[in-house]
Amino acid sequence: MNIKKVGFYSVVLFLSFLSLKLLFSHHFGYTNTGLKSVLKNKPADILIIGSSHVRFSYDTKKMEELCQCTVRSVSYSFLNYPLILPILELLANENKLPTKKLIIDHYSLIYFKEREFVDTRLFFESPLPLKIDILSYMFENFKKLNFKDYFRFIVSSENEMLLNFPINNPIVDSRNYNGSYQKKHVPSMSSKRYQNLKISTKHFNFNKYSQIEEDYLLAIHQFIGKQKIEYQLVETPLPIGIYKTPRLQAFLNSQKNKYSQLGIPFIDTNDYFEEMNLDFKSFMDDNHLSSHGRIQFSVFFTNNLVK
Amino acid sequence: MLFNSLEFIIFLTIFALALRFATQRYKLTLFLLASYFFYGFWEWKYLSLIIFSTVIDYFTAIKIEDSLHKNSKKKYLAISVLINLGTLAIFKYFNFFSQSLVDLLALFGFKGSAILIDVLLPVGISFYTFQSMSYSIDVYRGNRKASRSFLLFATYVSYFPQLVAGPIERSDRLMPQLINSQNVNFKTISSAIPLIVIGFFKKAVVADRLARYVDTVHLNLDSSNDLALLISIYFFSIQIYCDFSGYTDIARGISRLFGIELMENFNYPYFAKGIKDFWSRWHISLTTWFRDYLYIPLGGSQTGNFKKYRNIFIVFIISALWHGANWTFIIWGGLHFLYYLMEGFTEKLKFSLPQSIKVLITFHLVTFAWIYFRATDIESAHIIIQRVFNGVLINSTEIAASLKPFSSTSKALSKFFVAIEAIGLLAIIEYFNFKNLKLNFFSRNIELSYSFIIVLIILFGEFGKNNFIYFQF
Repeated sequence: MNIKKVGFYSVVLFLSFLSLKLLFSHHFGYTNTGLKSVLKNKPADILIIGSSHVRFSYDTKKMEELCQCTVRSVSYSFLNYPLILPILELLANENKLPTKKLIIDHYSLIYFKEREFVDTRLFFESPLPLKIDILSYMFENFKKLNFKDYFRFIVSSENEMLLNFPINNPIVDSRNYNGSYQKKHVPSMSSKRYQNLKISTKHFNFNKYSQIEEDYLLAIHQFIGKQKIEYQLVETPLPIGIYKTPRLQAFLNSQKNKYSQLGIPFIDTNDYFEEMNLDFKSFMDDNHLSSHGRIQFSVFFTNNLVK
Repeated sequence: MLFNSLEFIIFLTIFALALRFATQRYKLTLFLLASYFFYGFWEWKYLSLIIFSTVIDYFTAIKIEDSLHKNSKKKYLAISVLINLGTLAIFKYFNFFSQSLVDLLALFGFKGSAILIDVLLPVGISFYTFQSMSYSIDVYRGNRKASRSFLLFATYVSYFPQLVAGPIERSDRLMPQLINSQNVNFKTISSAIPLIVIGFFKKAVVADRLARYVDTVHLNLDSSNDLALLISIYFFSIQIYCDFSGYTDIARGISRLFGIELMENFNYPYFAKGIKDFWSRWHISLTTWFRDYLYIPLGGSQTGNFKKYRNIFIVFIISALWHGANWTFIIWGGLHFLYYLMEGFTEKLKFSLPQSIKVLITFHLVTFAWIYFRATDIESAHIIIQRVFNGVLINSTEIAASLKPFSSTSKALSKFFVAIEAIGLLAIIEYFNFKNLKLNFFSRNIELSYSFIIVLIILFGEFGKNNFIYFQF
């Protein structure tokens, strides 16, 4: 065996794969959920964008039935404002912004979250320009990441999805509808667990406020202003024990004042907790709604805050 | 330091460079220092244990050879064997036997608490003590001369590519090769690459991928559904083969870099047509060790049927205990003995099954026994067996739930598919090698084929997370 040939072929094969992945991976995303579903379809009347809270909270099918309009959602884990802005710019360039209303997830706790990896699926499903934006954001903000982390992020992540897209994608697509779960049952938590919920200090630190979130929210506000579309910033429901945490309450109150001064349209849906009849059955964990809660929230939200 | 870690790559590069600049005289010293560094990287305190075992066997072997009377030879051999087995007994079996004794006494109404010692099991202790012990026995039998070079003997005991999980080498094979080791060059790399690449594929792409599933299921037996349990049984069977034979392939490949050929430890065991056949293909270095140093001295098969089966029973039980101090291993060994007996019985019947059916039956028998091998305790093994044999429900909900150990997100399905594809690719490669078949395209483009597997390892491998299973033995 010629070892030099092995080395040469390995490098050529690897670089070819990597180039193709960077250039074309977004074509292999799901068509009923994620960025590709927005880019491949006609602009929806209502588009909801944000973190995992979006896919756990909004039932797009139910919303469509109630508002008689098209509703689509895009959600990636821990999707924050610095990444929402380039996504919106991409959608604007592709004329895929919603025709009636844009709903942006307001994830209060993310202001206090240690910067972590971007959802690898977002990177995989992004066209090359957005991939570059994501990488530059990571370089600027994720100081702790090293070569191995970037290697995993760019090279190793989502290869399984790429290899199996002809079988995997139709199955996953059949379980989703316009970005939200349809066939996946999200169980409710127990009453006992619900009563003892506390904000995880491991993930969220109230002493570390992230100014970058606020800066990018303002940039989004200005960007949407230029697009002349209606938008709404929405805090989705949280379990009462989490929501009533004094530090979070204080933060939300100060943000409400700030947003009102800046003209940012903000709704805290926790203000309607009782009207929505939410209780422990409505939540899966300390951050996300269950299937039961998703329907409760979607019905109330569409009937009272969208129509 | 795992073979699939960055630390090992750095270590190996530095060692290969140092070896290049060393004269033949100092090469053994370098091998020994590197091996001790490699071992000490896990737990430097246990280096003293391997040095202790080396010193004892080095001197007892010389004494055995120099003694004129058989009784003296026997005495020195007994010292070597007792000290080696004593070390194993203290570090590996003390707590097990102590607890078992207390449990036994409790059955007769005597209550008490076991004396337990709080020690970490030294990595690879069962491998290097057996390797060292076989040397003393060979000297006693007059099969080899005692080495007068401490350096050579110490390097033989601690040779880093096979130190922690074998293959368990014999001194007459390894020592001469250690003296004539080569520098790493294009020729040695070319002979090493196929083994290293296949070994890494087995370990990083197959074994560690399946390990994630199997470990999650075993950690959450109650919340895993029956289908997940069934899948985990098959996955573990593949995982343990890929993990151990992958390690052996890498070890043999690394050794080839220095022109040293280690023995084959696996010969396509899952294509075995029966249990005897399986044991002639699985962990060959251990099986032949037990054959040469236990089974034959006990009388082997020359002393009638009863004694033959008694000897086989002893070998299976000791082999089981060699793997670990737990009743689960003893049941695993006992099951294999039972299979062996059944095979002996069915051989006398005058019907023959097609080869493929025999292979399938053997695979399933071996896979069933692995349930005990993997389970943390007998109760867990019984829960798994009970739930799986009570009938596994297969519908879309159960299938979706059974994929959760891979991931709770939509990625679970594609991860499952990749696991199946990796197993399939490996099965094809193994089948072609087993049957000595050659595909024209791959034979003509051998470099391209290995490059393709290297890229697959980079893209689908799981790195630096999982230890090799056999390190714990």
